[in-house]
Amino acid sequence: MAPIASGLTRKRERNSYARREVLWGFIFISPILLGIVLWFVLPMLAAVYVSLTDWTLLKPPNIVGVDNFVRLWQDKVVWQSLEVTLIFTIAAVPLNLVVAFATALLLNFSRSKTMYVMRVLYYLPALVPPVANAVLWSWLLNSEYGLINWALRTMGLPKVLWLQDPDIALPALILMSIWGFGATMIVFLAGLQGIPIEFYEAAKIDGAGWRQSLLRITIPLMTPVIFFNFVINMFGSFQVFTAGYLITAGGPRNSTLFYVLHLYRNAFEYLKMGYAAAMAWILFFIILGLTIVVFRYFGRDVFYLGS
Amino acid sequence: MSIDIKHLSRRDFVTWSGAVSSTLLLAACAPPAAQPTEDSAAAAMEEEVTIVAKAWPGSPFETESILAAIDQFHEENPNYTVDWQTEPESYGQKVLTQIAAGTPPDTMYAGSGDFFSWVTQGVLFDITPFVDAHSGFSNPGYWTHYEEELKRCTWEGKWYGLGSCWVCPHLYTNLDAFEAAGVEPPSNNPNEPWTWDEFLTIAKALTIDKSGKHPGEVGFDPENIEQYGIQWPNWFIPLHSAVGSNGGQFTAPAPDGRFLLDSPEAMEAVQMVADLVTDHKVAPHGAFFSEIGMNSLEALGSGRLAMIADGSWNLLRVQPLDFNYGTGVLPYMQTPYTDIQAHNQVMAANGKQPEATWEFVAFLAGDFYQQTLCRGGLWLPTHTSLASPEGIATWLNPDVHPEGYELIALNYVNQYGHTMYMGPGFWEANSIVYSALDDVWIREKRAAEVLPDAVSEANKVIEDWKVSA
Repeated sequence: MAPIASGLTRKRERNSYARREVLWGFIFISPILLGIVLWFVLPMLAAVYVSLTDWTLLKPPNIVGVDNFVRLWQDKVVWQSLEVTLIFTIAAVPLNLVVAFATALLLNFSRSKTMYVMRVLYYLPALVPPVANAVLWSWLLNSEYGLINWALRTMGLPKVLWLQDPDIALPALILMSIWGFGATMIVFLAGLQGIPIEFYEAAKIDGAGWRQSLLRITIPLMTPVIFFNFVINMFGSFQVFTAGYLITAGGPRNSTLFYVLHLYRNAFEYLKMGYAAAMAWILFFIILGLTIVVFRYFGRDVFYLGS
Repeated sequence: MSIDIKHLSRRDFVTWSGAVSSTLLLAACAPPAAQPTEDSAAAAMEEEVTIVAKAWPGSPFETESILAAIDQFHEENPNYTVDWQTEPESYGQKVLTQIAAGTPPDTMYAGSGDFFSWVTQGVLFDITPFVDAHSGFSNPGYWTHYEEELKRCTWEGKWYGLGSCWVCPHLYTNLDAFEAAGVEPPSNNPNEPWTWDEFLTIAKALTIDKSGKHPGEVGFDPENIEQYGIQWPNWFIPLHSAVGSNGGQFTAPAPDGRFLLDSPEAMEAVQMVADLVTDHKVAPHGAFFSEIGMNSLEALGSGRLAMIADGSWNLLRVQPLDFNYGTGVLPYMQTPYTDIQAHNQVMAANGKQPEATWEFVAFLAGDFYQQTLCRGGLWLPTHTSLASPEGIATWLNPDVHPEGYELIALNYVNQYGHTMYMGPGFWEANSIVYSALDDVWIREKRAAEVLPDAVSEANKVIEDWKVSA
């Protein structure tokens, strides 16, 4: 009996230890769990309901079924804003990734003090609050006294109406978005530093040049990080708002009317909460759909070291 | 159910945390503790009453004036205290959110573009009984422009607010620029306006490039203009004045509210305003002021502009610029016409103490406060008591108002001033129209090319709002 009993006790002890560990685990993550439930899950569920109503904040909502979604489908401005957002995403995300990756590669060359300083310098713009960033860029892009046109002028080039020309305003905001590449770059840099140095040494001994090292070692081993940055950047750019709201107010001629800006206007300027909630759910499904596509078609090319 | 912290299962944990979070949530959503309320004015007279008033922040002059008025009100009604709250950003949205949350201010400003939306959404208090019982407000003779007063304050025959004042766009001039060009400045007399052609000729004479040439002269350089003849801003108030002057309408009168900018008269008027910049080169393009780092009034004061068609409220801001300025009525296309409007002082539908609040609203709508703000150059009077020679003397201020300004403030407003109905959905529809007009201001397209489509899109929005209302 005795050996069995002591075995059970030990098992129970292990069990209660495991339970306590789980409990403490939950306690430690409870702030974020609570936050997610309160600020994400509940509002999302509420938005499902609101999207099926004609709620305007002031009157009790009436259920209107899928009316909001039907109207959304017919709303030209929604389509236009979606197009603006797509163009922004298609241009800004790859541009951001390339610039961030290239910079990370350069900064990874050595671990000297200069490089540490450079790293901080390149990362700094990512720390500038978005509103301050928007104000700064509205000055830089000003057609008369902006620094960018001043530089063009000194080179004898004509002035560019960065924010007034409907064909240029969106490209201007895309260029501006690169300014914050530091956050992406720092993740790349971390990824690069995780690649064992021996791989490069071995490649060097085998006579590989920098190009081969880059294509055969760095990029394949960086695919998880590239993939991560790609997905995160894609999420972010679908939700771009600040620049369109603060710098161009969606203009000229709606050329920078991002989807989320249009959503915001419907919700808080026109008080069409139902319509805006429907827009939010559509955006959610667009992003979800794209994520699935991206995971299915690019996810399999991702190479995980050790897998 | 007791909790054994050592043997808490995952399920227990989730149950308990769910209970805790929903309690927290419910607590957060609960309405605030009931405020002590007064049911009748009689009771209010005896007890201390705090009236919460919401407004957008005005200039320092306005703030000073309102605080002085509140002091005056408090002196007359010692048991009333006014809590004057201002909302610097997104005023309308914040007021509506406050109302939706069940904690409305007692009284607030309603901008002319929001008033009817708010009425139809049921957020405003029907003040008709108060107005009817008031010896002044109920008398048509009390108001200088009763017909327009009814249009802007009433809905289906009921009063939902009291107009604060009138304001209208008119010309401001830099008299030194006129003198240098040897041109007679415009008159304040509404019966002596310039025709549009006369106005164009004068605007050309006042537009000067770097080498002193005028538009139309050989060698005139439109890229390097030192002084522009005019600025006619293209937002809805000055544009409505032009459209109305050409016999068109910006929107259909209440309760219709559809945009009518696709009529031939309206499109022609819009084009004539755009042509000032793109064809005649007498007016600066939109970015000019940010380029020179001045606002339009500073440009007028510093001689970069000779005239501007701007709101009467800006007299307050023109005066401190300390230059030789004048005013005049707007030039006309078919008929003299100017836009008149202003915010209404309104009460919230669910206000707890309407009688006490009305006392304050009526006080603000009285002569005392209107005189103060007219004297500063921000408002134009709406009371006949301020239109008699003695009444005029109480507000006409030689330090601010140019000679003969009472002709604009009273005759022009009352003979040729028209309100414009901005009903539910106005702002959304307006953004569609203005987005299309972007191309017209830069001469990519003509007004007649973009307005028919844009107006029909805009009117769909207006119809939608009507349906949902």
